[in-house]
Amino acid sequence: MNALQSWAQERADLVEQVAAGVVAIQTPKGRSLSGIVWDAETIVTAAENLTADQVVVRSASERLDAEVVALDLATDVAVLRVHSGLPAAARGTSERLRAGQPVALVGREATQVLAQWADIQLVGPSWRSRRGGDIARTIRFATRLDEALEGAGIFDATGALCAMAVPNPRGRALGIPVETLTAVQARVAQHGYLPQPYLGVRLQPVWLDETQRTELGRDRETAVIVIGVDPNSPAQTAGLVFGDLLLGVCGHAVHSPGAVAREIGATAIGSTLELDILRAGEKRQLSMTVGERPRR
Amino acid sequence: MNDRDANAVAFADRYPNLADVKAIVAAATPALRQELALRLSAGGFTLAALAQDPEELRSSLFAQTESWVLTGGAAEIARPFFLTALQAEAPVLGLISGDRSSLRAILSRGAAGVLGFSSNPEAMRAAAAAIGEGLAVWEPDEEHEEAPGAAPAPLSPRELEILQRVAAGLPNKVIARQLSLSPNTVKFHLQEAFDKLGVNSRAEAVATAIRRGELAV
Repeated sequence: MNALQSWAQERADLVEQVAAGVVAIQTPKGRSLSGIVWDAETIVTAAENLTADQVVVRSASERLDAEVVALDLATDVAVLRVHSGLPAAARGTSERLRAGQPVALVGREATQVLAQWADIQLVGPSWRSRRGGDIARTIRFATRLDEALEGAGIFDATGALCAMAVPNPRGRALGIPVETLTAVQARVAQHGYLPQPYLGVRLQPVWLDETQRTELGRDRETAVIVIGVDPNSPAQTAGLVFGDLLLGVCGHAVHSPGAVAREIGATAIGSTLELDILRAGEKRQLSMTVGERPRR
Repeated sequence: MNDRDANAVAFADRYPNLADVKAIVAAATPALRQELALRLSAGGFTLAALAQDPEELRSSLFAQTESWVLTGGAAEIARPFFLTALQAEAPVLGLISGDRSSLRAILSRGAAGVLGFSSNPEAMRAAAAAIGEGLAVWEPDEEHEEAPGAAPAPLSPRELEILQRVAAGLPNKVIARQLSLSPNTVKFHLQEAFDKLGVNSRAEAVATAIRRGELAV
């Protein structure tokens, strides 16, 4: 066998080797995604397009009903519960990934293996998603991600799982590192669901005129105002009241309710936030402990 | 740029300078497509493709990853094209004839711009530069002042009760059990809430309700 033949064969062999650890996921709306077998009871996939509570999981030979136990839109990680008994994908690390390194994106479409080799375009530091999730590392590809490979495993040449494939907003592949998957899965395993950080404050943007902007030293035209405080919420405990102007969270200026949600999205429940507020024309600081969004 | 720099790293390629990228003209009638294509070249932009319905626009956006969308005509006709482009996270600019107040709410959903149909090439270029930065652009409409009654319908207490639980990550069947409703009733209320918020998914519903001040952060 020549070098080209053995290179081709080894690539296909590696895909075959890791394929037992990946599944297809079918939503009731007919969308097909891929997923990674985390353990005999758990499957990890991409959250963004998983709009249902119940999905069908397909392995090479089986068809199983799975329950969506957690959707973490901040990190785009979803956790499914199903007694699959399938062998878990061998987990590695994303630490040693390098730009230019070829990796295998492996998932499933129905019972068939779906695979694509891609070169990593860029490996970078941790970043915060638009929905406020902390992602342990930037793993970027120049390649477009096939729809059915959303949630697929990204495997290195040793067959170890390094990341999960998700599309970026323009449809190119992006890797969510295995360390981030582990962190989300650990939180779900601990609670049985994914606790959501919560302050208990309803907000609206307000326009600041030029004088107000100069006085407050702000460059954006809006800030947010408190229009409601949920009873028995962290916001109430901290003493936020209707009409307070929220200017900053932990030193970051906030200009919209969405920006506040993003700041909160990545904070740990139980951690303390410093809020910059304006009450009756006076700047103040309040400390608030991030709570958990009530589940009833 | 208010988001953190690290975010900009990952999405640096998200909105390129629109003057350098091709546009997809999306409109339902051939005459309108032609008019928009002419206006596009008058603005100094290049045409990548024409799309006659949202479905075609979706596949064009899929084929032309680095592109933006020019649509136009009456607000109600242009609306589906706006939604399709925003769903694909592509920048979109609309040249809207008549009352455009109903498109106002769309601007909060991404890099979108709404101008009057008779806007000059200069205004188009300025708007394209701004939406290329990920900003929303709205040209005030003097003829059609926004009616006070045009405010979006608020969520009902029941819808809010359900959405609060959706935000906590509860599945429909658990919500149904807690509120002594059938899962189908929960689904129905949730769909009503989606319609009022103009969204298609649980995640968008939560984000939009937070933005509108109806749900607590």
